[in-house]
Amino acid sequence: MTATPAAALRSAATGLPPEVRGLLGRTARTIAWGAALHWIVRGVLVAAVASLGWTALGTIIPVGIVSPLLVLVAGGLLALLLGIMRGLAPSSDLMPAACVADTEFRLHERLSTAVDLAAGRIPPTGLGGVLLRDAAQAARTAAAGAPLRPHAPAGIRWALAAAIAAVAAALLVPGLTIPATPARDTAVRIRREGRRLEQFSRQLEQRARAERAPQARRSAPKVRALGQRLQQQRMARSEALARIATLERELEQARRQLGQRIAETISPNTPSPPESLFRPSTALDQTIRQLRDLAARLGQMQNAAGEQQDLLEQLAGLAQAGEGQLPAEARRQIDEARRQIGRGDVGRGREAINIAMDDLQALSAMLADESALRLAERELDRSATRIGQGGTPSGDEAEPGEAQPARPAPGERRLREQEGELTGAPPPEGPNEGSQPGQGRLGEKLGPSTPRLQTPEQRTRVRGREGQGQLQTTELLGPGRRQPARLPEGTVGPAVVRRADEHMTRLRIPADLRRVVRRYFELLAGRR
Amino acid sequence: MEPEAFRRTFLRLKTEMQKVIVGYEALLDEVLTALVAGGHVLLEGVPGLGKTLLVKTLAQVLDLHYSRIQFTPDLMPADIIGTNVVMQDEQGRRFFEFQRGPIFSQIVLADEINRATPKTQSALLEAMQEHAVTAAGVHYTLEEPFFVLATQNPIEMEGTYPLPEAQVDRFLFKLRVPFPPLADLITIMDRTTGPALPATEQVASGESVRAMQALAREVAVATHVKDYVARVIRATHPDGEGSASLARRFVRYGASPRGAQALLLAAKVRALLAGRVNVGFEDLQRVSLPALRHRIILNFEGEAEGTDPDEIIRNVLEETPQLPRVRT
Repeated sequence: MTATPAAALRSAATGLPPEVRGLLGRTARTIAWGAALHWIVRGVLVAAVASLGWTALGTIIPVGIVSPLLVLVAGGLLALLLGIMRGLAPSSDLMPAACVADTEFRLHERLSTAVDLAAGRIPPTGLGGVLLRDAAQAARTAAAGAPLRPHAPAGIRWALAAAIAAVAAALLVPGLTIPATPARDTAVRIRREGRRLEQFSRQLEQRARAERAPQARRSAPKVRALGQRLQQQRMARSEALARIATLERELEQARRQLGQRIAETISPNTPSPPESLFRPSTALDQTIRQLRDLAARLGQMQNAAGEQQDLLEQLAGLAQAGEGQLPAEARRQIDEARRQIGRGDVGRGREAINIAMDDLQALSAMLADESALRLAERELDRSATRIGQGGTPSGDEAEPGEAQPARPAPGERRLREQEGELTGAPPPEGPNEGSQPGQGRLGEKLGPSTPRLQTPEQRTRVRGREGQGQLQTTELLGPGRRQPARLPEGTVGPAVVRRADEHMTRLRIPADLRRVVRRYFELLAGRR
Repeated sequence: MEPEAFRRTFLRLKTEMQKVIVGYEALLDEVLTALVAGGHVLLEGVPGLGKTLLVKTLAQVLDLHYSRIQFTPDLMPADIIGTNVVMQDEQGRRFFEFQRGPIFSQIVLADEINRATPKTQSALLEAMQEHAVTAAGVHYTLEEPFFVLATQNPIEMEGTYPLPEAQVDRFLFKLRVPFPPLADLITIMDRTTGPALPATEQVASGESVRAMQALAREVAVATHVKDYVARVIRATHPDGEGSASLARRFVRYGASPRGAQALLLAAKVRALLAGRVNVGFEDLQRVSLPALRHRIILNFEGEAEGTDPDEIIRNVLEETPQLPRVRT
């Protein structure tokens, strides 16, 4: 049985003088670290070239989420890891170490010949003993001198230059695209999404003001800033997606906190209330409206027994209908109002109703806030999806200044929302939109006069606290302003009047205004 | 013999010869290296440079039989090897007796070897390679050490017979004797035109030379050094793996395996002189020119371009890596 050359060389170590063994061991470790440096430099070079290629490719096709810098850093780290592993594992073959030591210390092949002799790779000679002593002496001399250090790898300058070029390219090139390439299409897409988000931010702000949604109001400027940032010329897809994802996470966190507060309000003792409670419901709005009506009726009630009984029945109906949908505290206040009214204490009954109404309004505002944030998240997600898909924007994606779908008729948008189609559009502008009682300037609160009627506006100011005092409405009559029709003229039949009735019962319309709306539709039907 | 004694003896030989030979230190080193390596030397140089004197001096400092053969066009092989002559004993009976020629010496000077015909030149073949001669069917072994030094004139080509490749290949070294520098020339004039000619002493015997030759063969050679020698020899060839660029262009046939032997033997001697008992790359490079230059046969382009084989050998050494690449 013959030993393999490597095994023979390992066993040769025992036949070598200790000085030679020590020097060869140190040299083997140096070789291993030299190879490690070489691996690292090569790895960095490859990573830099890959990063440069990735950057260049990004000017032609959208290359996804991974940024060129990440490619460079990941490649460099991988090379570093492999290099360290290589450096920690020196070869057990003594011959390369002997050859290197001979060369580096100018030992004229003394060590390598000694290793060969000890391993039996060359025939024994009468000068073998002299040779080993000579090698030991040479090793001692070499060890006394400067230690062997790994040489700088040959391609280190190239690797450094390539890494610098890759970093520079990663910082400067992204966002640059070649015309008529998929990358350019994606850049256009990003800018369009930026415009869309900016436009959406305005709508979000209006809606937040209208629904008194503070979180949504705070988020709107961020959405706008993001939209403006996306419209800048040099925006890479990876950066755009990262920015959108960051804002999306921020909004999600705010929405979760809001959801926590809503859950605590609705059912403090239930750890996870049903999801349906988080949606702005018509029932909640209707309950608030009914409570407002009841509070108004209580203020005008003249101790008529029949009217009191009617109130108590309505309150009982509200409490029963709100089981599982209204906050427990609100239901308790409604029950309290029933008891107080039943005892004949109308004042305390009205006070309980007002407290219940305040609770419900606060809940309604939080739900609206949460809904607005959810909507903003959805818009961001939609933008991210579109940017991620790349390609040329299709015609059905509305852009400012481009062909837009016809604006809905008055009341139609609200109808859509009530039917569950959340479009994200804010409520129509009008007097007192988003105002706070007792705060702000009158001009800002009233806003511009309605353009729909050819009649001078009437500015009135109601003093007092919301939900209290007399309800004041103003009926403004006048010819319609001449302007292009937004909807094609159609027939208004009894079916339309009936649908209007149905919606009016569900919508948040003060009772005395219902008559105006009804008459409007009846007039339209009569014209037919 | 110990390596130190080897070195001492070598230096004494050189020093003694330098009493007569002015300058030519490298040439002396190479002649003595060839002697100790057991090879023969072809000295090439114009007349009057001291080639013959160098050989004669070498014979004087060694206790060896010396003979000189002046090669001429009418020289016959028998004039070198010897011949059977008819002899008569005391009883009047006649018999053939082999009369030994000048080859039966230990140091043979073949002066102007290229003036003899190839037939006569080839008479040296067996003697140089086998250290033996065969005459009339009888094999005669030459006494060791046997050392042939041949001289030839590179410029006077009329009436000469260039040595055949087989003959040239048997020389360990081909040494070029350059024209001496000015200072050496003045010293030569002083030494040779004065009243007293410099005298030399015998500083080594044939036995010493044989011991030195035996010790030189004991010098160890690492496997990768032998591998380098083989790659160098391969690189002198125009075709095949690892050929040097100039060899591919100008060489018709490269060095023979005998060239590898010459390279290694001479390098062993150089290693001992350097105080080592192993061959290094430096030793090989130092002897590569004299050991290989006469073994490279140029092609037509090489001849036409006047390419110097030394240039090709330097190119071979440059383009042949000593070691497989190991990074530090």
